Amino acid sequence: MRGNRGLYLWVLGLCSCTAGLENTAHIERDVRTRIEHRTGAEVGDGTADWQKRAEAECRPWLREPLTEERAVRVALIRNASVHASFARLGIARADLVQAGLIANPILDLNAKFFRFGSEVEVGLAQPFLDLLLRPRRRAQADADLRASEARIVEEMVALVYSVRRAFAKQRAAQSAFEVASHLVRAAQSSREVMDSLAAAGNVIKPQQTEQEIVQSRAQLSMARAEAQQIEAREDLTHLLGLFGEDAAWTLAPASGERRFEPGDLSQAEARAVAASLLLEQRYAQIDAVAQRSGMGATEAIFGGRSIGLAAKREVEAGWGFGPAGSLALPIFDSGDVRDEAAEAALRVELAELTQDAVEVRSTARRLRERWISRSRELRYRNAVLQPLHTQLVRDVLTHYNAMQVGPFDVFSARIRELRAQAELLDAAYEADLARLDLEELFAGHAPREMQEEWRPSMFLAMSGE
Amino acid sequence: MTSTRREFLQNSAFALTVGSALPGARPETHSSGVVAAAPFRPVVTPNGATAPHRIVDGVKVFHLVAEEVRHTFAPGLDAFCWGYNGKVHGPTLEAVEGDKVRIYVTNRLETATTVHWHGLYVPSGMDGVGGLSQRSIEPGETFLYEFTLRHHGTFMYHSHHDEMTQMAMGLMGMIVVHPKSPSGPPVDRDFVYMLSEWRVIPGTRRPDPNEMTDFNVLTLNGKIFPATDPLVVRRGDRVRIRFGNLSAMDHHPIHLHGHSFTITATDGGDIPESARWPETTVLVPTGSTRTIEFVATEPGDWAMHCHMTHHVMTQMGHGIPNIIGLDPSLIDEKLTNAVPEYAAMAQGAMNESAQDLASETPPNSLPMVGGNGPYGTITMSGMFTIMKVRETEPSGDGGWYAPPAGTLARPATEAELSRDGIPK
Ligand SMILES: [Cu+2]
Repeated sequence: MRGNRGLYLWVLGLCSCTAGLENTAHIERDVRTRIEHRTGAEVGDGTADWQKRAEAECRPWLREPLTEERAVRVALIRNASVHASFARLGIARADLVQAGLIANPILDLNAKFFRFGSEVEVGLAQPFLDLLLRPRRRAQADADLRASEARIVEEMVALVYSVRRAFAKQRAAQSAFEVASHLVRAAQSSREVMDSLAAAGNVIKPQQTEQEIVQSRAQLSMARAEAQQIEAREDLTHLLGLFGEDAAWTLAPASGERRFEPGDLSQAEARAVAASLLLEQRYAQIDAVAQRSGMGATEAIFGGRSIGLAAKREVEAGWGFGPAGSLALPIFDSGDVRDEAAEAALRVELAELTQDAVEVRSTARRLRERWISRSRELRYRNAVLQPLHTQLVRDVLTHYNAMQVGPFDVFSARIRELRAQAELLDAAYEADLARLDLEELFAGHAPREMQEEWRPSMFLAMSGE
Repeated sequence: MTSTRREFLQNSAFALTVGSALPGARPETHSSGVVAAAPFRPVVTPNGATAPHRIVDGVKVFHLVAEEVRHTFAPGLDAFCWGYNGKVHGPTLEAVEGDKVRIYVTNRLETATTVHWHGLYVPSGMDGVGGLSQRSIEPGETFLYEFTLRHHGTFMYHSHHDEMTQMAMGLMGMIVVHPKSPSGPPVDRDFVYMLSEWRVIPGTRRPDPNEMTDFNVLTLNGKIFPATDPLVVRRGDRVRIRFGNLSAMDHHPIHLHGHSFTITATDGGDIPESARWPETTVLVPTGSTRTIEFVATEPGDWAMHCHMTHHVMTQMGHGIPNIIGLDPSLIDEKLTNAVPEYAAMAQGAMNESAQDLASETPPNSLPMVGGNGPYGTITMSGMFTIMKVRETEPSGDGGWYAPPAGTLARPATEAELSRDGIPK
C-alpha cells in the first residue's frame, strides 16, 4: 500500500517535469516580433499558411518597380537563409524542452530460479545527477535559447541591411549608367559636329580623330557602366532569394521613401551597446557557462549514480522493499578540477564580453563620424560643387554665344559636368552606406567593414583622363 | 602784324575761357571749339576734348592728371582704364607754334609714370623717357615740363614708363600745334583722332596689357562704332583730319568713302606740295601721325574706317572653329540634345522675346558687330565712323542722308534683268 503510493507520486512527479514543444511556440513569435521591431519589416508568424500567403503577395511586387521597403520584405519572405535561421531556432527550442525532461528511470529485473523456488529482484533507479542538475540544465538551455534568439535577430538585421546596401548599390549603378549615357550623348554630339566641320572642309584630320577618340572612350565607359549595373543587380537578386522569372524585377525611381532619423548621435555608443545583439548573445552565454560552475563536487559524487527503489522476493521471506542507491566516494576526484575549468570558461566569456563591448563602442564612434563626414560632403557637393559645374557650362555657353569659344568647349564643359556628377554619385553612395551602417548598428548588428572597393564612378576609368 | 593780332586775340580768348581754372585744382575738360575767337580754326576731337589752359606771364599752363578712369568704349562695354583728367584718352593739347608751355603732370596712379612729347622738339631733359631723360614720377608727385613749341604739326603725348602696360591702359593723347604763319588754303573743319587698340576679354572690366597679338577693341578716340561721333560737314567744306596712332602692335590703313584726299603732313612736318599724291586710304603707322585734307564734294553718309577687317570688329574670339559651310541649325540641334543648360537657355530666350536662341552673352561684352543704320544693321564696329556731308549746315548729328530719287540701290526688277540679259 505504501509502495503503491510511492510509485504514484513518482509518476506524477515525472509528468510534471515534461513539457511539450508546442508550449515553446511563443518563443518564435517573440523573435519575429523583435525582428519586426528592429528592422521595420514584417516577418509574419512563420506558419506554412503565412508563408504561402506572403509568397503570393510578393509575386506581383516583382512585376512592378521595386522599392527598397518591398525589397526588404521580399528578402524576408524569399531568402532561404531566413528559413534556415528559424529552423535553427527550432533546434534551440527542442534543446530547451529536452533539458526539461527527466532521464528515463532504469528498471532492473533480476530473477533466479532454484529447485525449490525462485528469487526475483526488481530495481527501479533514477539517475541521480540528472535529478540534481535538472534545474541548472534547464537554466543553461534557456540561456542557450536566448543566445539563439539574439543570433537569429542579428542574422535578420544583417540580412535586411545587406538588402538595403545592395539596393543602394543597384540604384547607384543605375544612376551611373544614366550619367554614362549622357556622357556618350555629349561625346557623340561633339563628334558629329566635328564630322560635319570635316565634311565642310574646315578642320584638320587630327582634330577629327581626337573627337573620335573621345567618343569611343565614352562608348567604352558606357559599356562598363552597363556591366556594372548588371553585376550590381545580381547582388540584390540573390539576397532577395529570386530566380527564374522572378529575377526580372525592375528598380523603382528614387523618391526619398525612407528618411533616416539619426536621433541623438552624442549617445551613439550607449545606443549601440544597448541594441547590440552580439552582447546579448554574450550575456546569455555567460549565463549558460555560469550554470556549470561550482558543480564539480556534485558531479564527482553523483556522476553516473542513481537513486531508486529496490524490491526483492526471496524464496523464504517473500517480497521485501527498500531504497537503493550508489554514491562515488570523492577520494581521488573531488571535482575541484572541473570547477576550475568551469570558472576559467566563465572568465573567458567575461573577457570576451568586455572586448566585444569595447569594439561596439569603437564602431559606434567610427560610424557616427563617418556618417557625419560623408553626409556633410554630400551636402557640400550638392549645394556647392555640382552647381558650380553647371554654372561653368552656362558660363562657357555665354562665351560661346559671344563667339569667344566654339561648340567643342561647350561639349567638353558638359563632359566635365557629367564626370563631376559621377563623383557626386560616389559621394551619395558612400553617404548611403555610412547611413545604413549606422542604422544597422542601432538595430543591433555591427556591420562588417566593407572590403569591396566598388564605386558608381568606376566606369569613368574607361573614358581616360 | 597779323601774328601779333592773332596772339593777342588768342591769349585773351583763352584767358577768358579758362580763367577760373586754378593751378592745382583738377582741370575741367570741355568739348573743343569753345574758343571761337581763336585766330586759327580750333581742332575738334570727336568724342573727346581739348585741354584747358591758363596764361601765366605769357606762358601757356596745362595740367595733366594721370589717373584711373572708368571708360565706356560703347554702351555695354566699359573698363577701368588709365587716362588723363578723367578722360580716355587724355584731352588734346592745342597751341600755336612759338608758344611757351608749362605742363604740370600729377600722378594719381598707383604706379610711377612719365609723359613723353612725341614728335616735339624739346630739351633732352624734358623728353619724358623714364630713367633716361628724367626719374619717373612717383604716385602722388607732380612734375613740371616746360619748353617752347618750336614747330607746328600734329603730335602725341604718352607715358614712357612701362609703356607696354601704360599705353595698353590708355595713357595717351594728341597735341595740335597750329602754324604761326599758316600757308595753303584755310580749312573749314579740323578733326583729330587717336587710333589705339586694346584687349578687353568679354566679361572682364580691365584691359589686358599682356596681350601681344589678339586685340579686340580697336578705337577712334577711345570709342568703337556705334559710339563714335560722326563727322558732320557741309558740302564744299575744306576738311582736315589728323590721325595719330599709338596702337601696341598695329598700323591702321584708314579709308574714307566717297572722296579722295591728300596726305599733307606727318609728325615729322608738312609734306611739300610737290611730294603729295591723291589717296583714298592713309596708312597710319604706329608711333606716327598723318594729316589728310580734302574738299567734301559729295553729299551723303560716308563710312570712314580702318581697312583691316578685324579692326572693324569688336570682341569676337579668334580661336573658334570655322563653321562656314555648316548648317547652323546642326550645332544648335546637337547642343540642345546633349547640353541641358543650352536647351534651358534657349527656352529662356524664347520666353523672354523672339530674340536669337543664343542671346545670353557675358556681362560687359560687345561681341556682336553693328549699329543701326537707316536700312538695317551696319555690320561694322571698332574703328568705324561716318562722315555726313550735307548741303546746308546740319544740326545735331545730321540724321540719316536721304538719297535723291534713283540714287539708292534696290532689288533689280524683272524688266531690268531681261533688258540687260542678266539671268535670274
Ligand atoms: Cu586698323
